Amino acid sequence: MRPKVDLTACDTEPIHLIGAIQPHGALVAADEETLRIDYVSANSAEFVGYAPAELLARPLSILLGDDQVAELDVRAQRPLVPDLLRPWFPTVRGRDGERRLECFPIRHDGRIILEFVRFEAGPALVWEEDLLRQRIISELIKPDTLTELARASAQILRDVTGFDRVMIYRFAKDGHGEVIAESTVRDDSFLGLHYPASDIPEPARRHFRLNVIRSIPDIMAPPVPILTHHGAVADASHGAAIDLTYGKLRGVAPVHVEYLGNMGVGGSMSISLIANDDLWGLVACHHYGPLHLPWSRFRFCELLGGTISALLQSLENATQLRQSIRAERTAFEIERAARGGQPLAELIARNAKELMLHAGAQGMVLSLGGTISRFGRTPEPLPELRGLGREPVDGVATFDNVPSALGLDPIYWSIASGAAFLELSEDGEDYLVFLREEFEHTIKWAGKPDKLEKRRVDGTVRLSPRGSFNLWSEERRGRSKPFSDSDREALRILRRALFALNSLDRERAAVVAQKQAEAEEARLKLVVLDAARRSSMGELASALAHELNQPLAAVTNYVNACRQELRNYGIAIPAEVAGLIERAVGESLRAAELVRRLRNFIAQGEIVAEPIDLKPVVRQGVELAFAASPDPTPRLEFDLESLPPLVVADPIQIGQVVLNLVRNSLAAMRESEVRTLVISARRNGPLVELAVRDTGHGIPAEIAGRLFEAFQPSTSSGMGLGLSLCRSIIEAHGGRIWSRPVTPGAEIVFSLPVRSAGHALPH
Amino acid sequence: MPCRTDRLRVHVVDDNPSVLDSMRALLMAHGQDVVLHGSAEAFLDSSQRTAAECLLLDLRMPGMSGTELQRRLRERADPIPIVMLTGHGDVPVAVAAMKAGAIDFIEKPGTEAQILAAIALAADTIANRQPPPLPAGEIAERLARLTHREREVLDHLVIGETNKAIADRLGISQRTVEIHRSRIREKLEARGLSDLIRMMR
Repeated sequence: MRPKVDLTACDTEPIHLIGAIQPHGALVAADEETLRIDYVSANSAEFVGYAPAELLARPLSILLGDDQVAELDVRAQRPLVPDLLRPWFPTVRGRDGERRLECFPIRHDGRIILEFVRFEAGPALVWEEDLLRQRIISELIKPDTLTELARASAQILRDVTGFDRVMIYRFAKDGHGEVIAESTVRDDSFLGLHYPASDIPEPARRHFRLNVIRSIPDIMAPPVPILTHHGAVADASHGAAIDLTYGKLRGVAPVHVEYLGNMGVGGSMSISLIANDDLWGLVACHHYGPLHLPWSRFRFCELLGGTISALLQSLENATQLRQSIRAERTAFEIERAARGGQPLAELIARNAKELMLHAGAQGMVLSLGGTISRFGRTPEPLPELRGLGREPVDGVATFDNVPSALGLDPIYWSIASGAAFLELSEDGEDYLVFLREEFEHTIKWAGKPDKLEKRRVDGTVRLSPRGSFNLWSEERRGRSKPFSDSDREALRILRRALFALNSLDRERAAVVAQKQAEAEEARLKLVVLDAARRSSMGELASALAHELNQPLAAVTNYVNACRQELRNYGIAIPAEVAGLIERAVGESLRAAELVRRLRNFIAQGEIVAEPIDLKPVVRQGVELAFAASPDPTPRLEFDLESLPPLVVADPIQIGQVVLNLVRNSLAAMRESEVRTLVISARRNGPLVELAVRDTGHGIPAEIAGRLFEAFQPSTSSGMGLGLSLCRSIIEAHGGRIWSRPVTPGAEIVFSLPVRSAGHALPH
Repeated sequence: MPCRTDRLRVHVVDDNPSVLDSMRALLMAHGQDVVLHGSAEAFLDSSQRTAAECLLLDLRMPGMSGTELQRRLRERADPIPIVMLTGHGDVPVAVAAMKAGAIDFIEKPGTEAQILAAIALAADTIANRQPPPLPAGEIAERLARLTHREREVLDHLVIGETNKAIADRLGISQRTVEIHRSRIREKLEARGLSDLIRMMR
């Protein structure tokens, strides 16, 4: 008869204080110090030849004799974790004579606990089976993947034990389990089945860690109570309940019986797989009927379990290492290609498949330099993923719950349940996100779960694989397969390389940008220098032409006047004298022509006036002046609203005027505390007036009058640089240039006719 | 050599004393009454004005420019005929001045013939005589002598464009423009640009 199952108690039930053992052995426990027997299982007579009442409160020596009791000092040791069975074959002297038994002695909780089972003569059968022995060695060391090792282990364990089904579970970080290998004689399969973490409550987990092998030969076999003094049962309700944590015979928790029963299992065995001191997984052996395993086989299974654990651990470490190495290799390939000059975005695109493989992702989103690229399967529309990068560790953040982390609509769940965020720049602008789909979509369950289902009388399905799977699936809605430590390690390796390359790219881009800026600045300086050179040459040429033309005009006039006055006085001019006069006039004109050619050759050109927008011309002139000036930039005010949209002017020449005026202003303000430059425009009838006003040292009164004349001291002293050229240009446009007194500083104003000869402005 | 009997009072406005003095010598040798002014302001201040007067006006001067003086005179409806004296590179301004009513311009240093012709033109203007009679038919006939390209060059010349600008615009060399220019002058029997502008007015 099966005890009633209380599901709500399953996580708190103190199963180590169950106060009962399975009936295929007997238990006797004595006080560690006094060696007085305090606990005896109700079936003791069957195994040791004394009834409980005959043993309780008696010394242990009546059962084992003084010599064997003394031997217990060595035999009965405190448990190690994980422990190995320490079988002992004592001779027990019962009422009906002596017998040889197998005993599992353990020292725990101030007690020596002895579990007696029947002695089976002869070595373990496996040692007689050459084939199996060879397979065990060769097949277990062959696999180089966890799955293959698990498969080989399941196969061998089934061959060794004869169970109908041997499954290897693997526990994930979050505690949920997955069947990763199975060997069975049955049609149905549990391979790929997932269990929620709650299916293996924490007390059970604790037992799996502490007590690595346990068997339940017959789940229907009624448990045997453990009695203590005065006929009391030593279970959780008793003040002095016995702790059976390390017992091999410990009674089965009712909830477990129910669970196995629901699957139709009659006998079972479990072996814990421990790797890196943690519960890595479990070997679960099921038989669809009772199965009594010889104790030598049991011990052998324990040994196999330890071997598999060790192999798992080394394989797991190797796998992690291999995953890291693979990531390193990919990173190296990308780095090498990058050295060849390929841009990062292109490299990532080309290696997208490989990268997604590393991350176990089906989709990838790259944000680089403000451009988003997608690879594989990504949700549409793409949600904002930047939020995933809030708390990265070494630049990597992983999520198996993206929808809840980002508050996403369920439409995103199927292909954006998990994500790994790789930071590719310090400022968080550049990143790579791998997307994992919802876990349920990744599971391929080979079995036919419906067959395994067993409904309870009230119709609910619980403690059945299908029920567990449903529960687990429910738990995993909107969650992906979690990222493992080795996933993260591989991602960190990739991220390091990509981050470094991106930094390099950015640095390179910054250097290029800076070089461009420097080149632009150098170009501006050249332009300005050139303009200054040309302007001074032009100024010189223009001034020379003007100054030379005056005396030339005078010479011509005087000579012509001479000739005319001679005529007026009635003097007949001899032919050769007339010829000389002609030549004098001719030479003057030739000199004038030479001056004209010289000027045309040097000057940057004549005025090419056309209807233009003056605003950009003025701004450009100001910018050029700023670029060429070593002085700090002053506060700048533009008031160009009154400018007509189009003015007939030569943009180069007017730009030159503005450049010269602003350069003068900057020089004048070099010592000023308040440095403000105001460029303003005003409409005055047919003219437009542009004013450049500064807060510099102003124009000394003594030079104000000759400010715009060529070769004035104002120019050589740096004051009024190029003003005579400005005047030439402005006057050539039909305008004027003058200065206006202001305090503090100076204001130079020039006017231009809005319309000019030969240019009708469009209306 | 044209030598007219009309006696004019010629005002010369120029900031350069040598130019002023030499101009006085030349014009007086040709029997004109000459008044010199060192600046536009000085001219405006002068009160010796008679009916038969003309003005030889330098374009570039410190203080008030020739253009500005012309504008002021026009504003007060002063009918005095103006001949502009210009330096190099001032042709567009001179053309603008002609549009604004100047009767002629002379590129410094002008020839005696140019100066006397300008004075004669001023005298004609004062006497309300038409400039040397050139019937429209005659002009049309002369224009007909021009090739298509020459006509194109002329059109640009009379709006004050420089040789360089014309060369750029027509995609020919400046030298070619100069050749066209002299052909145009020959065919139209013009002395200079001012004649051309008058003909095309």
